[in-house]
Amino acid sequence: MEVTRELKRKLRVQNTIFYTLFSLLIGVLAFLSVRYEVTTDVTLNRRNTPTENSLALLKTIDKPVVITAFVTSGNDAVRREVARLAGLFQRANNQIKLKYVNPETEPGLVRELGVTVDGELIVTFGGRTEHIQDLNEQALSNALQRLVRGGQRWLAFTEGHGERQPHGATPQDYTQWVQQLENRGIKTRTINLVSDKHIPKDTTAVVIAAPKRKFLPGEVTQLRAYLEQGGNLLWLSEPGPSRGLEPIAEQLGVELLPGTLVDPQHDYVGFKDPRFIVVSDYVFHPITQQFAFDTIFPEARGLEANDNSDWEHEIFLESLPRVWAKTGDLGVELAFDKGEDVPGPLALGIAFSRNSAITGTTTDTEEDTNEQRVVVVGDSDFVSDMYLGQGGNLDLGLNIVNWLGRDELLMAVPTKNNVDRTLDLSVTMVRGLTLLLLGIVPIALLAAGGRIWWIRRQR
Amino acid sequence: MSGIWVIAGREIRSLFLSPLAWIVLTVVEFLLAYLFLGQVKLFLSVQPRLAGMDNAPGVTEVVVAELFRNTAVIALMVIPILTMRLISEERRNQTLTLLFSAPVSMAEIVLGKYLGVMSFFAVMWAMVASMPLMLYMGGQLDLGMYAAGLLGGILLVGAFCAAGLYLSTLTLYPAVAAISTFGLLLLLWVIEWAGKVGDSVLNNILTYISIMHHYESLIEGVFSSADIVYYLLFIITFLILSIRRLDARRMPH
Repeated sequence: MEVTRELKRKLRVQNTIFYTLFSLLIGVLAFLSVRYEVTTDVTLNRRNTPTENSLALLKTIDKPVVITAFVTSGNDAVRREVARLAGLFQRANNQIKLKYVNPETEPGLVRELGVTVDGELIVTFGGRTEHIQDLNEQALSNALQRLVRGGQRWLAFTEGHGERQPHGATPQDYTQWVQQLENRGIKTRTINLVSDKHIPKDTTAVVIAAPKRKFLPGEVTQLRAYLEQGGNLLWLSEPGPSRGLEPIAEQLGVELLPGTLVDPQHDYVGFKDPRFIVVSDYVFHPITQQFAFDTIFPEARGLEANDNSDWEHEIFLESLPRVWAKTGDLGVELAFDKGEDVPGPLALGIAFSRNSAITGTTTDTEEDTNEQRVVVVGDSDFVSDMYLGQGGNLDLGLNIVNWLGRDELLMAVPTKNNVDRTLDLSVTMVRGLTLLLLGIVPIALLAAGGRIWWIRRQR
Repeated sequence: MSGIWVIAGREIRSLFLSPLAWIVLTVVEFLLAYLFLGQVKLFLSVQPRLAGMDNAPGVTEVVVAELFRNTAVIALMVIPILTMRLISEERRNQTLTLLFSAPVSMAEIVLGKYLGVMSFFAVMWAMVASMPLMLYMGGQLDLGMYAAGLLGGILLVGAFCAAGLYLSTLTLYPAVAAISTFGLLLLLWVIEWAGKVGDSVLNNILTYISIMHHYESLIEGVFSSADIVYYLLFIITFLILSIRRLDARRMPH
């Protein structure tokens, strides 16, 4: 065959047409494969499938959800975990979008949004946000649930009696706790019961945090009316006088026991001061459900609920039996004064609830709207800036507020039973494996290669 | 079609009759076994802590997935060395002309060579895949996840080899073929990093093109038709390009 200029030109044209059509075909096939993608979770552990509770929630979402992940470049392990978690939800609902932000290149944004952890997620839905620091399905499901339920959450702190301030400057105040709450979309305000005639209607819960002055009778009347109308309350008490709040205690059916809790084995726990009370076992309650941390209460008082009210109560924090309430001076030697001191175990936190006759104050439309909730804790320091970082204090503080706002673990994500959870290899077995994989097998392979080389050399 | 098997058999013989294949197998086995055992020891040491966690990662996730990821890294380095000489050496030794005159089509030559080199990697994968099975001495594996990862690994190696085969048709010099294969594969590997920020169409395309993106989801046990199709398209594209390349070469010029 003679290759003429004409033939070469024809070949070139033919080639161009072929490559154009070919790349187009591949592109279209690739596009179609993505468009009509079918995915299956083939793991026995179902690790790539959301649990039924999460799936039910995801079905209700029909507006875009944006998950912004703050991951530093190079942190591949966290990035992978983020992608896995987001993928879990994205496969079930295509309204969920994931985008990455490198906190190193966006320090301003990080400060503005209050991102503190590498791998933190901010979930945005309908203009509201939730921060997630634990990368697991439970946390993401609960955040979504709170976002979907909607309604702004407001905590109203009473002021005018020397209470702890939501934005105060001393270590006794609640600046950090409030910051964490705001990261989760819960806003705070202060209310003065003397000058403000009404407690705002959209208040999720009123917070009374360790008042140092007496409440005026008029203020107490207003609080009582608030409770009568179905309002939620968080009462953080301290040892000492009850500051005119006796009527509230009576209404709830709670008794503030005298004395300060002391732990005779404080040295053993690691505190110099016997008034540091550690709680590590939790009663089953939504607030402390799946709680795995110790919580620390400096200077706390004991509580007791009586059945003289229409409230149902549940103790969710209880001291160890060895703890008792000391009424007098601590003295040099810590000793139990019979007849004066109150023996333990003592309740530190009690949750009250009742079905309110009047519709709740929030804008929810769910069935449980009518349940009214009150939490009384015999300590106010555990969420203060000074002690918030101790053990699980922050989580406890957040859980209490979530429970009051009826945003508690609505989504208990059941544990999946992994088939490959355990690996039971003895030291000898590991040694045997090492010998086999790093000794016998490589030597055998080398020997095979060497033999072939030897045979070929002989030829 | 029998031409394919003849070519593949010839390729396999020449591979396994040279010490190179055995040395490559030894090095790969040793490196991967070392990393594998490290991961096993890591799991054994964190196991008490994992026991207290809900939904903690299991053996398959910690040990097997990591082994498969490491295998991809090793494959990236080894494959260019084994595919570089597929066509270019034949061209250098002037043996390609002999092949051309034999009664086999270009497609048979390309597919035969491809199957030949793939059978070597089948041996390599069999070695890698047998390591996790030894853990049955003391536990269980999530076999679904394991199988998906294995399938992904074979497809990944198939894609690497197809690209290497094509680049070997382009040049006379095996070293050039090896370096360019390595460069192309590495580019396809890291291209995703550019696509990770933002959410534009271009970024989505870059993420789609990325060769590891699809492997990762298979390793994690998500079996997606799009990922499988991606690898098949990748392999078919480079095989067809190789066939056309050789066809053009057969033309007198």
